[in-house]
Amino acid sequence: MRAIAFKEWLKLRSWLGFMLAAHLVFAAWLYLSIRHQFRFEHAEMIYYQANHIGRIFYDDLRYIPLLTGALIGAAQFLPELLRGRLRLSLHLPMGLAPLVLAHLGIGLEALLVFLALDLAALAITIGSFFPAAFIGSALLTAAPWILAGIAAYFGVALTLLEPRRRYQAANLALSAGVVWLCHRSGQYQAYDLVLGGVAGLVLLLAPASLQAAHRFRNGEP
Amino acid sequence: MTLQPAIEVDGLVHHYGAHRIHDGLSFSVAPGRILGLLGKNGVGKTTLIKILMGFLTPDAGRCRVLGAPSHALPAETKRQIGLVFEGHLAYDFMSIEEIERFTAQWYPKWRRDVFYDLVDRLQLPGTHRIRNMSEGQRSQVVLGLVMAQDPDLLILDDYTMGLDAGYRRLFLDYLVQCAREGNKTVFVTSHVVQDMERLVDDVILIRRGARVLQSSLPGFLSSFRRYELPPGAARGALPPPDGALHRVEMEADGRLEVFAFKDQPEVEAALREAGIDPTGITPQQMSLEDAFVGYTGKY
Repeated sequence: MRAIAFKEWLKLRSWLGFMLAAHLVFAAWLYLSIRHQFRFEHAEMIYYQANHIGRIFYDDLRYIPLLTGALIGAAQFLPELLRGRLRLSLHLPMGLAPLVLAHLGIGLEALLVFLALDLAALAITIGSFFPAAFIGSALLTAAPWILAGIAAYFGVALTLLEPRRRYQAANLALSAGVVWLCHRSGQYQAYDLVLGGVAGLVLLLAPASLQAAHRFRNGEP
Repeated sequence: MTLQPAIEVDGLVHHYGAHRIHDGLSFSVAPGRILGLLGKNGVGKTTLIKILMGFLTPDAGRCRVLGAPSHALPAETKRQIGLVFEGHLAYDFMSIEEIERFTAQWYPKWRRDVFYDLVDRLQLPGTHRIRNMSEGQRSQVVLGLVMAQDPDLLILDDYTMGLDAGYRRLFLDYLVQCAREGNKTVFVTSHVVQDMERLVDDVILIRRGARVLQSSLPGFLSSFRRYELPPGAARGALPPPDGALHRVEMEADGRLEVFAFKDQPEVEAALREAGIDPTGITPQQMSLEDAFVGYTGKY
C-alpha cells in the first residue's frame, strides 16, 4: 500500500499542487465575494434573500467538487491507460482487487482533502457573516455537491478502466446520472432526507471499477 | 526428478470473433532455456505473449507459467516473472531514482547494484525523468528494472522496437549475460530475427494454419536446408508448400530456392517427382533470418 501511495504521489503531485492553489484561490474568492455583498447591500436585504427567496450565496461552490473529482480521476487513471501502462500495475505482485481498491482509496483520500478544504472555507465564510445556525445549513446544502464530486471521481475511474466501448458508454451515462441526481435541486437542504441513500448510490460506483479492471486484465475487447 | 516446465501450453485455443488465432497450440519451455518465438505478422505472437503475460484469458486449453495458470497468477508467482512490454513501457512520470525506489519495494531479492550497473552507463542524473529519455535510454532502465528483480522467468515482447543497432546490441548482450549467469528462463519475441541467433537456445516457429515447430536453434538450422537451382529448372507450376518439399520459391532472376527438411538426394528425388530438373542443385548456407523466411514464406 505504501508503494502504491508513493507511485500515486509521484504521478499526482503536480496536479495536486495546482488544485490546492486553485481551491485556496476559490476559498479566498468565496469569502471576498460574500464580504463584498455585505458591504454594498444592507444586511437585512441579504437575510431576506437567503431566508425568503432562498438565494444561495455560495452557489459558486456547486460545481467545484465535481470538477475536482473528475480532474483527480483523469489525472490518476489516464496516465495508466495510455499505451496500456496499466499492465505494469497489474503485474505488481498483489491481487487485482487490493490493487484497484488501493488506487481508488488514494485518489479518494486526495479528493476528500480538497472537499474538506471547500467545506471548511464555506463554514468559515458563512460563520463570518451569518449567524451560526447558517453554517450547518450551508454544509447540508453543499453535501450533495460533495457527493457529486465523489461520484465524478468514481465515474471517471470506472469509465477509464473499462476496456469495452459499450460498457464504457454505459458507465459514463450511469455516472453522469448519479452526478445529475446530486445536482437535481438548488434549494437549501433539499437532500436532508435522502443524503444517506444518495451517498450509498455514489459508493456503489467504487466496486463497479473492480469489474472493469477485471475485464481489462482479461483482455476483453 | 523431472523439473516442472517454466512455461507449459497445452491445446491453447483463442479466437477474435470468428477469426481463430490459435487452434490447439501446444509447447513447453524447460527452465533455464532461452526461447525465441518467431512468426510473421498476424500469426498470433502478440496474442500468445498477452496470454503468457496474463493479460488475455484463452478461450480453451491450458497455459501455465511457473506452474500457475497464466490468467490468474498469484502474487508470489508474479514476483518471479519479469515482463518487458513492447515499446519498453515504464512509469514515465518517475525519475531514475524514483522508479528504482518504487520497484525495489515489491521484490525481496531486489538487486540495486544490477539496476545501477546498467543505468549508470546512461550517464544521466538520478533525477532524470523517464518521459524525457530516448527509446534506447528507456530500454536500459526497463531492462535494469527486470534484471534487478532477479526473476526466474523473463518474458519480452519485441524488445527491439524503436532501438537503434547500438542499443539493441547493448540490450541483447546484457540480457544474454544475465540470463546465462542466473540460469533464467527467457521467452522472447522480436521482429529482428538476426538478433535471435545471438540470443536463443530454442526457437518456436508458428505459421498460420500449420503446426507449431519447436526445436533447438542448432537443431533447426542443421535440419532445415536451402538449395538453389539455376534458372530454367522449373517448366511448369511450382509444387505447393508443405508437401515433400517444404517450400519452393522462384527468385526474380528465375533461380529456384528450395527449402526442405531433407538431405540432397531426397530433395532431388522430390524435385523430379514435381517435374523440376534437379541438375545444378547446390546447397546454400543459411542464417536464421534466411531459414525463418524460408520456413514461413515471403508472402
